[in-house]
Amino acid sequence: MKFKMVMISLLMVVFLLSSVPVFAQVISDEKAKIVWGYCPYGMLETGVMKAKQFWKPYLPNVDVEWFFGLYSPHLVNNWIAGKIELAYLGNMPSAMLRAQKPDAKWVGIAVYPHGNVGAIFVPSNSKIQSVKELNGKSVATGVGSSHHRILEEVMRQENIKFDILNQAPEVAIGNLEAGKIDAFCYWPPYIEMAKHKNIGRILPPGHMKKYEPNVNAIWTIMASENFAKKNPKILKGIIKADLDLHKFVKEKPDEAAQIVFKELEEKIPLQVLKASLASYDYADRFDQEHIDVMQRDIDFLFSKGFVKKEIKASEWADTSYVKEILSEMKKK
Amino acid sequence: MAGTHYEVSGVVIEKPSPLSKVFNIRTILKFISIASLFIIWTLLVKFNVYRFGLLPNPADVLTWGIEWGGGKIFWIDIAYTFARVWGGVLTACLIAIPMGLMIGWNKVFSDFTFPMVEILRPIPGIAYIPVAIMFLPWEEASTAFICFIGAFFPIIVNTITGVKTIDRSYFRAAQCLGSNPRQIFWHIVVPGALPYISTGMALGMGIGWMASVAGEMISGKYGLGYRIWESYTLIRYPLIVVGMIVIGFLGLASSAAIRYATKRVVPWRKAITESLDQSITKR
Repeated sequence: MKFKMVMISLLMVVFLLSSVPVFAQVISDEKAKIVWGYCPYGMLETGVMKAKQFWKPYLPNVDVEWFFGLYSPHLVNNWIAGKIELAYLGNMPSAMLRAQKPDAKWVGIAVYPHGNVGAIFVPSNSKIQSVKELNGKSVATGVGSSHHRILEEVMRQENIKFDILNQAPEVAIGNLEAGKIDAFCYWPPYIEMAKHKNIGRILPPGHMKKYEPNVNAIWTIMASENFAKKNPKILKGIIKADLDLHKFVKEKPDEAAQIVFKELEEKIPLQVLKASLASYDYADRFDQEHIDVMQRDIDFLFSKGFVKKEIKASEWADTSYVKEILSEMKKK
Repeated sequence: MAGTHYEVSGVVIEKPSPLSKVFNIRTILKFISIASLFIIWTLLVKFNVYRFGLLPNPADVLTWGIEWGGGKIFWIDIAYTFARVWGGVLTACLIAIPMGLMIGWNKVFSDFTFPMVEILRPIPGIAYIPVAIMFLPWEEASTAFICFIGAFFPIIVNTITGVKTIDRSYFRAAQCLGSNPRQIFWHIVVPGALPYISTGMALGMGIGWMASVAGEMISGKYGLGYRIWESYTLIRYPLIVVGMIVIGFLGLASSAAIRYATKRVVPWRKAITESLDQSITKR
């Protein structure tokens, strides 16, 4: 009877311990402080990572100092200046960074945007009714961005030609309102923001799904060789945390939007954030499909002369972390 | 190389030949000064002194400069920036000079307008960008407006100072001789303030060029400042430096043009600056 009681108690302790994530999932208990670059206005979900600290169950003793950038190029410039070694970045800035710093590793996929993150806006009183009518007009976007590539794809597939102007979204919104440009095309949350503020109207169909997969992009998690070598377990924990972030945003979109709303100090309306986050897609794997998407981006940058040397996405991508995590999860 | 000689009041003076005007010790020193800058820059980058290794080296800058300079875009960029800066600065002159003359000369006008100038003066040009976009109907006007703002305040402040520093006895003498206010304005205030106005214009031109980078952030297609901004987002550091150098040289040429014009319009200013130059420069 006594033995039976002891066994039951032991089984209960084991069960309790395994149900507590901290005990069950710790990847590394080493104490460290890391600097992590993010641009919460351009990559909204990173605000959720910051607030929810998804890395904590895997890396309980790691403290993160968040390095803010308004856009990815700001982070890239600071990376080159040696101020960060780990960052969430957009697809094109990632490739540009790799061109400058061959030791920058692409270790994870933060977001896998498809055609639903792009739309073309025209002023409300514009006579333009369809994409085809943009022929000969001026359209603002960020030159060298994924939306520049989207617009080039639109021109190619629609057999039209328009003038692409390089403007920051906040500048282009003002210019569209003032009637100085014919149209603009940007990434979330600027599309939803423009809709919300009734700045103009979206040309039908209101997305770029028609042009998939040529308009798909990969927003990356980048780490330097040095960081990966020094902190392999921490890096694995970070990538695992990012997969948890995807799950959370997909399962609890309203809560995620609320968190981002707070993180951005309520500067962007909640409904704008909800709609923007809903337009994102995520990849919970890392394989040839994603490498091919990135290669298309690199080829575009090379064709435009924005990167001077050819980069092979397959040589740059390090899928080992994601694959290892996924295989461990499968075993469990 | 020896020049011709001529005699003034019994003193033989050597008139320099055109060649010796170019190839003299002062020109050589100036050339060495610029060359040293490039040599120091190369060494700092090569040996990565402090964080200089992060900057592009002069050879890369030269390569990018040749590539950019060899294309049509370079000249279009220069033309756009030049037009915006000169458009902005000349408009600033047209408004700031008469306004400064009036503020300096007329107490009522001064009380009415000078506080406004003083409130607006500390606001940096870049802060006007959203206003410029919304307020001005043409994109080019929005960009030139930032250069205008940069140039306006040094010109107006120097003009006011120019009027304030005119010797009061000129006004008294003119009044004794029966001059009316209009005559005093045109024959004493305007010429008396001209040396300061020219200084304000030269300063305004320099600041106009500085403001061009900020102003062209909203241009979206052409301009040297725009190219620098684009190069930052596209991580092309050598091109940033080329753009900086080109702006430096064009700013220098613009200021030189204003100084040259000043010497023609205000000959007495030349006498003042030359005498100052002689008194402070050891020959």
